[in-house]
Amino acid sequence: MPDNSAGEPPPPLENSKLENEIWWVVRRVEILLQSWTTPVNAPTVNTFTRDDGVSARAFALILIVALAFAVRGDRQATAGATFTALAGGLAVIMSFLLNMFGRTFRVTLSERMILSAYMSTILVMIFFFLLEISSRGNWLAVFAQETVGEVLGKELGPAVAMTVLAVILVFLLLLMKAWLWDKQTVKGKALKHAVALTVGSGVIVLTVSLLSSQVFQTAIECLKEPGWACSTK
Amino acid sequence: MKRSLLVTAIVVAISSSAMAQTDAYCRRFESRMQPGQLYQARCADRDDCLVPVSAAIKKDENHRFLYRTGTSQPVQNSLAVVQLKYVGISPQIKPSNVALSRQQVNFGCYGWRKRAYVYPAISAEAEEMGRAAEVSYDNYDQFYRYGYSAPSDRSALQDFHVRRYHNGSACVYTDSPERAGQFLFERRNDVPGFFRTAWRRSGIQEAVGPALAQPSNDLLKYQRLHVYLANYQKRPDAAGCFSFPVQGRGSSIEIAISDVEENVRARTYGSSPPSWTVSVY
Repeated sequence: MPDNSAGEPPPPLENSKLENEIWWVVRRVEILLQSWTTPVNAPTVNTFTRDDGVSARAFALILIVALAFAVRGDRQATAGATFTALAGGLAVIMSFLLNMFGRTFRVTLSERMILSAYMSTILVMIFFFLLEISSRGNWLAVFAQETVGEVLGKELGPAVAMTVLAVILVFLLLLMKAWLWDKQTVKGKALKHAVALTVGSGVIVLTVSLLSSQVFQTAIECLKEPGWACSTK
Repeated sequence: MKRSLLVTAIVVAISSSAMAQTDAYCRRFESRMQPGQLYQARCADRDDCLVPVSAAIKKDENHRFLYRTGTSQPVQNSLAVVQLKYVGISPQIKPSNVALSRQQVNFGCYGWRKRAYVYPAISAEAEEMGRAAEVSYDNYDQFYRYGYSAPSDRSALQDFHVRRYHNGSACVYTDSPERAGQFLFERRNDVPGFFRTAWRRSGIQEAVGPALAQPSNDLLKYQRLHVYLANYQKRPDAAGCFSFPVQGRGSSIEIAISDVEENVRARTYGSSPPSWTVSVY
């Protein structure tokens, strides 16, 4: 019987593959955090390549879509909205808002700015659903929901209250990060950009949380067949 | 002097309003009812209208049932979750939708100052029950177990939900695990806290964790599920009493009643509620 114990390469380790995957994710998160600052066109040195930036964008979009299910309270297995429909719908909304941001503040849409907008949206989504969960018996969240709910109604009110709280938290975090970590001057343009980034993210999160699954499906149909055809479906 | 007169007038007005809200059937029959027992009222004007619940009921007709609570503790106000489970002839493929009805709740509390708030009735009368809003079983279970709902049924569930109410000693949250669990049909003592809810809602559990608990096959025998939220305001030296309509449907009806505050006080909120089976002919 031949002895195979010596002279052959060891079998590939499953763990090293998993380790690589984890490092890949950590690196994308690092890129997103690096890019998340205000003002969005602050002169900083990019420590990532263009390819890294592109993959970080893709990673952020996947994360946003996954979080969209959490924000909506849909289960991925049983949700009416499919992953593709949500991704498409969100991409349309985000492109629209980013273009509006670029025109309003007269800034060129750079890689870093898009990543910054994605990161803001991710953080507002995380805070939104964590706040909603904590509102079970949390007097502050219940009070915010009831007070806003009295004006805006039982469905819109709580969603608006949670979005506003999440936007305020992310806005404060962004200012602290820009000031303490990126050593930016936090006034004037930086404040305006921070407001636009976080409020824009808030609009996306509120839209995602309230729209019915059918709207996302219709949006995809519209992307496939622009014009009157989609409005009659 | 004027101030104390005004306060007295308000107290008298509130008390008389509460008395006026007491169920007409309860007023008529309460003295003849045993605590913790379910009765049927066949009419409202004679003593012999009250019959034990073991009697069968007629198909396609509306019937009135009454329940009297225990007298052990001086809890003043309570919600009562009445689960009407209509047994079908053949089993369903998935649990049927849950229809939602609510009696008017006069002791809700709301806002910073926990001021009094009235939750209006929703499809509470017998003739309205067939038109009650329905939500999917999964969304109903998720709402009371985890505290959130998918957009498709969120509006109906939030309309139905009584978020806070005065139980007589404090303004309490219906969302608390010991109260929310009593709205569930199964695994009533499994209302998770913040971290388990976040884990599930984030979708990570679905992606990497063990399979989520599914509704049991027992639920498939019901062709219709209806949750009727009744309530009572206890008066001095009197037990709580409430009545609710039941439609004659299916082959039989299982009626489970959870007296929310009584169960919280007795710490029996995790166990199965008392239930009765009524056949339909």
